[in-house]
Amino acid sequence: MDPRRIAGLLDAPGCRRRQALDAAQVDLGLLAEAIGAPPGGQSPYARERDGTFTHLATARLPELVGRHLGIDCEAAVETSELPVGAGLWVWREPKLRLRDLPVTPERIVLAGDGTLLHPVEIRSYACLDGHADPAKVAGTARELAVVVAALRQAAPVPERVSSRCLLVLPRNFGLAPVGTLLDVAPQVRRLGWSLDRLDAVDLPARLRLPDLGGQALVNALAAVDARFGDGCPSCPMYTHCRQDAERTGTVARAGGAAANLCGPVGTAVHALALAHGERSPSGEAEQAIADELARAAAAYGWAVGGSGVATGPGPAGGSAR
Amino acid sequence: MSLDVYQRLLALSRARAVPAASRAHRHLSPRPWLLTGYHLAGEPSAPVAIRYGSFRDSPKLLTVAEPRDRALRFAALGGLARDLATYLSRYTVTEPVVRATGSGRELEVDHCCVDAPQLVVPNEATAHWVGLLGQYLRTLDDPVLAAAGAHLGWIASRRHLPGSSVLLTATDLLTAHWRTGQLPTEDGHLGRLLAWIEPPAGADAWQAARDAEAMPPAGPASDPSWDQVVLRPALERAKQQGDVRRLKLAAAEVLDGAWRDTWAAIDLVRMLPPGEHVAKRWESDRWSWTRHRERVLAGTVSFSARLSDVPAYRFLHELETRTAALERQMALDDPLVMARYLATGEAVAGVVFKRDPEHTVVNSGGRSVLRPLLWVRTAAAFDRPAGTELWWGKVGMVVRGSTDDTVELMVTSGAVTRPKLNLLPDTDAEVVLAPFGPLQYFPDNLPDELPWPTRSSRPKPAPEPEQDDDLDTDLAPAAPAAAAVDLGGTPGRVPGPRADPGDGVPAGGTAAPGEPRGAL
Amino acid sequence: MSSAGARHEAAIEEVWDRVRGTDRAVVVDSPPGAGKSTLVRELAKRLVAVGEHVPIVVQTNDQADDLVIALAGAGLSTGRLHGQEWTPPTGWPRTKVRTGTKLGELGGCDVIVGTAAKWAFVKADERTWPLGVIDEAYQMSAAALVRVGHLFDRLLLVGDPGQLAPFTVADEHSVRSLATWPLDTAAGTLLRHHPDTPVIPLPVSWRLAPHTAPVISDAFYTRAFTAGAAPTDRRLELASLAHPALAHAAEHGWALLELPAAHVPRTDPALVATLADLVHQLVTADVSTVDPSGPRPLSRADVAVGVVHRDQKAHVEAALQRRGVTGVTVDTANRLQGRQYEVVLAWHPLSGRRDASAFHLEAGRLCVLASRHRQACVVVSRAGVEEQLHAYPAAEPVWLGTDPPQVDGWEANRAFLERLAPHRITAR
Ligand code: SF4
Repeated sequence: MDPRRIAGLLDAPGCRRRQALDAAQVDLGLLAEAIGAPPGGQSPYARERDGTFTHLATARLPELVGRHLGIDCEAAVETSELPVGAGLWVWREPKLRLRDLPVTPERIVLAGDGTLLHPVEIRSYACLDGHADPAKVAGTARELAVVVAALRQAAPVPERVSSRCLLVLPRNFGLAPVGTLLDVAPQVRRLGWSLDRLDAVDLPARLRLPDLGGQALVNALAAVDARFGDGCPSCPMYTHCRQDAERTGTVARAGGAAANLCGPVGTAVHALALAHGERSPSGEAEQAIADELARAAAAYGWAVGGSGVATGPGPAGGSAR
Repeated sequence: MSLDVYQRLLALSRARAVPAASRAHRHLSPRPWLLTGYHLAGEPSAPVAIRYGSFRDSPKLLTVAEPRDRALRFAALGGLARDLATYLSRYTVTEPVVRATGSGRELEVDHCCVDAPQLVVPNEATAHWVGLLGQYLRTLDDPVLAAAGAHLGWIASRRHLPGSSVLLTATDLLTAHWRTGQLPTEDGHLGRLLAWIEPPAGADAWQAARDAEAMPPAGPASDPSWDQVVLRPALERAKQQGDVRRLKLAAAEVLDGAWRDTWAAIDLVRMLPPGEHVAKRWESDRWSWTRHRERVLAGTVSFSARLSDVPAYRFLHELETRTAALERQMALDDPLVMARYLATGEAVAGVVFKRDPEHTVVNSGGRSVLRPLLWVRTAAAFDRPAGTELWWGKVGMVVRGSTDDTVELMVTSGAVTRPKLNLLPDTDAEVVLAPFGPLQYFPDNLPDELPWPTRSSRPKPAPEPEQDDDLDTDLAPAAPAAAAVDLGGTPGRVPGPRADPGDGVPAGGTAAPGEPRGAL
Repeated sequence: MSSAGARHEAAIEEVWDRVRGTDRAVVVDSPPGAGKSTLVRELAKRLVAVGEHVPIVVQTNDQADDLVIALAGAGLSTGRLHGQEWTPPTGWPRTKVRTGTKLGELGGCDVIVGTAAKWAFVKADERTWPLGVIDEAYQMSAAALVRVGHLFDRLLLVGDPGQLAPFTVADEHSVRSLATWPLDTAAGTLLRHHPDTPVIPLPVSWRLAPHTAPVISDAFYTRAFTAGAAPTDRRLELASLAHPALAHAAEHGWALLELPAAHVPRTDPALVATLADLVHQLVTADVSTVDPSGPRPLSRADVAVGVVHRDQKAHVEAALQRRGVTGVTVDTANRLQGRQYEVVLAWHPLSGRRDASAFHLEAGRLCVLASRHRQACVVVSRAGVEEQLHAYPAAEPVWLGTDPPQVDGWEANRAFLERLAPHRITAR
């Protein structure tokens, strides 16, 4: 799988359905078709720009690697295995594994200083005055973490693969490449823990069928517990799960804050009944939720009811209406 | 906040947004300039199509047949720059204003523009793009384009200041005034948001939101399949046959939705009566505009890529001051916002049932001073401890104790002299005691230069060589590091003779912007 | 002298040498209870003895008052620079102390203590000092340092890097995208700009017990420290019928009392009741605390409950009142910073939540709650915190050109939980 796919585990790690989807290596194209999700993909223009920039940046790598990593090197040399020594290599279509999951990036560029190997990553989002979109950089860092971890698994001496990567981005509005060091050590550690958990996920046997598609695939996934929340829009199952949540009126449909406040109370109808005193709470936890929501309901009622209460003398007093 | 959750649950169960404000908390210009557009995927400085203008029914449409061609882009943006200049020229009229000078004791007459321009865009991404566009334009040699770049730079720099209304996004306008039952991140989609607030007759919000999602996005990044299926053939045709009709048609069609939706957002918020403090905050924007114009005329506009050194700290101070001020002002202006504090238990609503205006205490100097007592009956128990401070407008008080349905308070400021006792609430008055009073403005107290502990003693590492930029061939013109932040406009201090009273910290100690006037 | 004592003394002498040396700045990293206040007092004494005037910058009025009382107690003539609203606390010394809102009113004082906010109003053309001391330099923001830095030619910064980071109401994303991050800690910003500054860690925590210090050190600190007390030095003696969590904590220093997993509102009534019951038992049963100075009964002032939110504080206080217990401190992490008790009962920040949040994950918050005790700490929580940690997306924004935080909140939480696993007690 594409490192991005495995990195996705770090996006919504709390959902078993999402984990199952990745652990079983479900084909995302088939899945999108089955749930009727929009196709997504990359704009032809973004692809072109990507290509142009990668080409330009690759030519300038020795210089950037020299400046930021202090490694003297010539243009990248093709390799078909994990290199050793000092130099700059490009490894096309490596077949790596992370635990049992295949990791198959298109290519990995590596800079070696004799002891350590540093991954080099070229991306085409802009670095404006030394500043790049932190969400995009975070995404890149997660993917690099997958590469670092997979390389470490393949390396005879794992510590030789450094988590300090060189990220190359186009500067400002042009295409001149600019390099920045990015340490993905925290992401590598997080990934390790996420994979530990993933190993423990019991995959439903049905999901393991090759070429499972269509409704059967959706059903198999739907049988796994889901946990709807703020991270869902980036998940391939999003359109399916949200409809589910809408149908059932799940509190989490309104976001993590709502789900956190409502605790064991699962549906909006239930929560509102507690808030309005139309249902007596069962147990202390529900009582506490009921108290909190009832106070919110009272405050809301006070405000929209427009009792004309003053918040102070003078014109600023909230004479509601 | 629990009110926020409650409103989201209400919305969720009704499949319809619920109001989160009963006042408009943004200034809405009678004649805003709207801008919606697309750029080529991955290339923010290569616009494909921009629709803009102040007239709902006759927007201008700009298209670039080969967005990566510098000359074509130049020509197209030239039109936009001229139209922007025309729009801005409406905001040059000034009026004399008497205000306190430096020490706060002397008065002087200054001139402030009677109104300022306002740019409205559909979403955050477009607002960000406006900044990039301005930054790009400023790198060009053409004076008209560079001037437009300077103006867009000023406009974009106001976006980060809480309470400023110079650059509004339709999604922010709506989320500031309504709550939906969907994920907060989904609220960033203008079409979805509108579907929640005004679903078409007969449809529930869920369906309407899904329909809205199927429409082309509001930009500035377009949808990959639209790029492939519609844009690519249209651009090819324009480029090869010089025929831009198809491109114009495609652009007009795809931008139509965002254009309509942005106006719809404005219409919705216009239906709310403006909050009391909105005009005050807009005055701060007008001052900033006035100063910006002066700098443009003097040729001293300067932009810095990112703030560092003292300006960074000044910017932080201004952000903090403005954030706090906006929160308070909105709550004081609008019961629906104050309700958030009632819901968390920080504010108290109730009825005064007893007063002791003559109550005195002996202060540390041994003098007996007036500290009136109030007893308020509340609907629910107030669970904050004794000593908690509360305010009724400018009257400050501390909690002395509370029971399940009463609170005993001692007034400590605002009405502790005999002539001011009439400012106390009467017996039987319904009151809301807020967790904040009139905002105190503190000078930022920053030195002119960073002291040694916070600046490096070593020379800065040499910057990366700049000659690289010649790699930017015609496809993507060279642009040196420039300008996200309007140095003059943003952080309070202006590289000019006069301080800018509009920007957060007042020049003198008086007439603090944003001070809750109503509480006088 | 014990070896811990010797290492501590050596660190103190190293600090003194550095202070008398030529380094422009010196940073002292002090883990919880490592004798930071004693150090500041001791250095002030030595500096005054060699004829220096010592300005000390602290962060809160309470800290300033405490320090002034301690310095005056040590016989130093001390000035308290304060704001208009300040009133002297109870127990304010009658001699050796002057107070004033202006520097001019404190003439003749050897040591002057004020908050950073107050020092910011002192003008450099009024007066500057050859050496300034900043206490709680990790609670102080860079923005505050900018406002006072010009008053001192050299600086000694003392602080605990495990405390809560400075806080801003401003939108972090806006600040970070437009400006170099001005919200670092004072110590952090100084070290970034002056990387050659010597950092002297105090190696010994005199507060934490031998079995609790390593956990705190491993989970929350990059520079390791150990406990100064020997395993046999201290003991908590409980009646035999004590709650198993208390009994376990008395023996091992820690207990993690877990209530059944549940998603509950943050004022979780069961957690409130459990905490109140534990406190009630501690203060009503026959409990004595033993240390080398001998045994004594555990008093109410020896016990504190650490919580995360103010409404939790209100609920716990109310529950204690219902049980007739008064005089026990109940407070939030940020107000407990710098304080110390024999026994602390801590509300786990993630207890009962569905999703963790950056606020609840902050390393400093948990660290403060877990490091206020001398004898024992009982962490009370809903089960399921581990799941919550694992469900937390690793989606924090990454700002180019900034280093990852030295102590990551998520990892610290995880490490802490792992270290507490052997002390897990399941509530009945
Ligand atoms: S969209 Fe569905 S499968 Fe994906 S993370 Fe959310 S709940 Fe889990």
